[in-house]
Amino acid sequence: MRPLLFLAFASAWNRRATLGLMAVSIALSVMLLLGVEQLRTQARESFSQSISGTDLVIGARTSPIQLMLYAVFRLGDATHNIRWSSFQMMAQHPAVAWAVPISLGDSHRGFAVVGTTTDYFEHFRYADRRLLAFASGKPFADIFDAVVGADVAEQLGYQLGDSIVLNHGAGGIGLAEHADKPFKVSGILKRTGLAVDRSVHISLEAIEAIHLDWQGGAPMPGLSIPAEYVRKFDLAPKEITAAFIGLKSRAGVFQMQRHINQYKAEPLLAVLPGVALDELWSIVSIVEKSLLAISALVVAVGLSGLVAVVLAGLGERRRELAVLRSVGAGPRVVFLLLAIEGLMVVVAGSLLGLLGLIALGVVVTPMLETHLGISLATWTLSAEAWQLLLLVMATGFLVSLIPGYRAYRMSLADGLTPRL
Amino acid sequence: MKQLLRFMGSAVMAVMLSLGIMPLARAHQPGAHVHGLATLEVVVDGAAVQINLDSPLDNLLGFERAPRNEKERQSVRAMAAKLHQADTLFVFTPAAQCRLESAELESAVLAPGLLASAVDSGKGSDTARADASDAHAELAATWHFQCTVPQALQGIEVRLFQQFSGLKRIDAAVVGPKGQSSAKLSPKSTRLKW
Amino acid sequence: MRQLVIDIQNLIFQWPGRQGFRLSIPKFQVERGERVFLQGASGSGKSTLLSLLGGVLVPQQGQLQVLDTDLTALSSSTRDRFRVDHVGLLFQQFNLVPYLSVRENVLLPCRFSQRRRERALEAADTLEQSADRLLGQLGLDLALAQQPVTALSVGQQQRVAAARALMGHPELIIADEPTSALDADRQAEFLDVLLGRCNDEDVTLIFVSHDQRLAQHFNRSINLHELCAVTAEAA
Repeated sequence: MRPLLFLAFASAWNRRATLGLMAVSIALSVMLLLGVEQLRTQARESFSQSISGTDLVIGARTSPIQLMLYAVFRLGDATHNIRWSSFQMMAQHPAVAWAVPISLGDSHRGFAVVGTTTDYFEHFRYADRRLLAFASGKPFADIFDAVVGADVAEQLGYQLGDSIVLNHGAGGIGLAEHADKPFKVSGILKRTGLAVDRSVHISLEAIEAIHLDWQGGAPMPGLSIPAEYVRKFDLAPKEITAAFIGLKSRAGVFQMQRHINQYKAEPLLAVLPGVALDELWSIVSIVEKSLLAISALVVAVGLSGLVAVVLAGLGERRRELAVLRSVGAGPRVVFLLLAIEGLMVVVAGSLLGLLGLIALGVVVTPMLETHLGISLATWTLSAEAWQLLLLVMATGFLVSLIPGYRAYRMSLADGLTPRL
Repeated sequence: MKQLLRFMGSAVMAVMLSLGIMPLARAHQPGAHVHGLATLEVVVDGAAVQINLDSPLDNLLGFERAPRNEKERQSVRAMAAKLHQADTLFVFTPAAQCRLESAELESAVLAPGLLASAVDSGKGSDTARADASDAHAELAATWHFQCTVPQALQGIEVRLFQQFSGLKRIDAAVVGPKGQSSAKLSPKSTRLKW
Repeated sequence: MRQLVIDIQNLIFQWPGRQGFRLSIPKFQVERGERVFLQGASGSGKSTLLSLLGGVLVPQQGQLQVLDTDLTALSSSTRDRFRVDHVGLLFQQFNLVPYLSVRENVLLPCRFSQRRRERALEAADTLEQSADRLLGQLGLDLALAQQPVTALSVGQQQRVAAARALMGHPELIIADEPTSALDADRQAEFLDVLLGRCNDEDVTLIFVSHDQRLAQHFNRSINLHELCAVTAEAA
């Protein structure tokens, strides 16, 4: 065995440029495969952690997934609002521990504006039941106070006390501005990796206030209520978009869900966020599975390349193999020599890919968290990823047998004098 | 790089959205009546486990009205007997040592007496509470279990499919010690894990 | 009693599945210590005979004994073992493994054969010493020992190959046109050292060449046409 390993290594070293390139291409394909697998599992985790402490999400009757998308991920728009009275009914229900209303629809330079109450900062939990934390400042106290997420602050360069103007609606550019009622940044939140980072939070009263002199999506002609007078008006909210609810006892969640779904005064939808996210994920999983399949194909391409390279090299090595036979290497040794060479490249490539992935993880994790809101907790491989890695190596070993077998046949036919 | 990542992000989200919106029309709404489909709610609260099953009667019985003759009444009793045998329907992690505390069955078109367990039988009335005019009818079952070692409980194997061949799919929602989750169960995939 | 290194009688070989080619050797015997010159051009059955002696091929009929061992009775892997244990082989050109150093090439038989390793260590403390001594005896500069073989001239390469064939004292050396790639001066030089070594180490040598002029260096010369009958149809 020892002469075999020695020869296999010497031979591989002799052709290190070609085999090195093969190892790199296998490393890249392994990186892709493991990376996709890693993203798959971790994205799912961070997905389901995005609203960990909330028992129910309430909105107007729509599909559970759509409600989750707009209420939790701020994707898409709500079709209907729910009445403030409905919210109060829920908030005052004896089984409810806390209720946080949110009101969506306006934006600030592309970022969502969320009207809510200060309870939001006390009850909204994510990941392992972490609460929102302030990088600086404090929750909104005055009507024209705003609390901005980490991305908003970073990308627009906001600091405490800065004055900002909100847009009406949530499209793109060219939106009408609530220019007459500027807000003051009262707090900046720490990064969470959630939609919160890309949101501007103001009070429900502020939402009412900036729309006092608006009707049908445009300022009312001839009417302008200056900011300093808005306090004289009734700013009690009339409608909200959605609500997050925490229960006193987890056990009552299905009962509460039924209670809300059967609410007579208004068609409401109560969704268990964890359940809805699982359902959403089962739809998205078609995409993630295709991604995984594609990367598995890339690995297959890498391994075929390896076989092709070793096979192509076999022609030039005919004489060398005959020499080895003349000094005592049997056809089986020749077989193993080629098989080991292939396996070495596969193992080297796989390990290189693993290292590359870990290195990449260290660099990319913060970027993903910043830009996609996907927080990848650690880059320790999941059991499934290890299994994939072993599978790649086992497949690599199997395909390495192909050139081994060819060499075996060749050396049987050639004997000591290669026919060239 | 930043731009690329952001583009990828929005692309992924766009795909998710379009795929997510597509099935909205056929998304299962609470209370929908689909033959072959049932919903299961599982709540694990400390040592107590509560399971609710909501199913069109057809899945369990083959018809959805009050029984019209003795043979049909016999079918209803047989169904009720199976549903009362909860330990054959739900297999818990053995180490958790969970046992059935109570089981309640309820259906608008079936007499409570027919649905009572063998032990209680004869207590209720044999006449249906509702008129059989409604073309569709459901059965709601609630089971309460108590576990001696709840921390050992890691999942439930649902064997409803073996007992009721009319059941093809169960949408299960679980509220467990690790939060909420959902699963689609089928005769091939019968495990709930958390 | 004189020991027969090669004893062939009534041997018939045919390529399986290839009609037409047929090699038959009524009798061929080589005694220990003989230096035999086999003269014959290609097509005279030369490579087939060498493959038979090397144990790569087995005859369909007749006796094939090398060092009193009946090669026809051995399995193919035992024949591989037998070859490396007892026979040193030397070819026309490209005898060396390109990715190994000069010394590693010489050491190759010892890597596959316990017997060759032990015999090499009888006269030297280490295998490397043994290899270096052989290289020196064959007139190679020891500074070359660590060099890759691709850096050597053809003449030097053939000497390295000769050293490898001699490494670990095999009883028999079979050389197939080892000098054909060398010019006349180098041929004589190479033959001198090779024969000298075989003499000193009491090794039997079978030397095959088409070049009749080389026959004078050997104590026995045989024409392949006389030795064996080959019938072959034109392809």
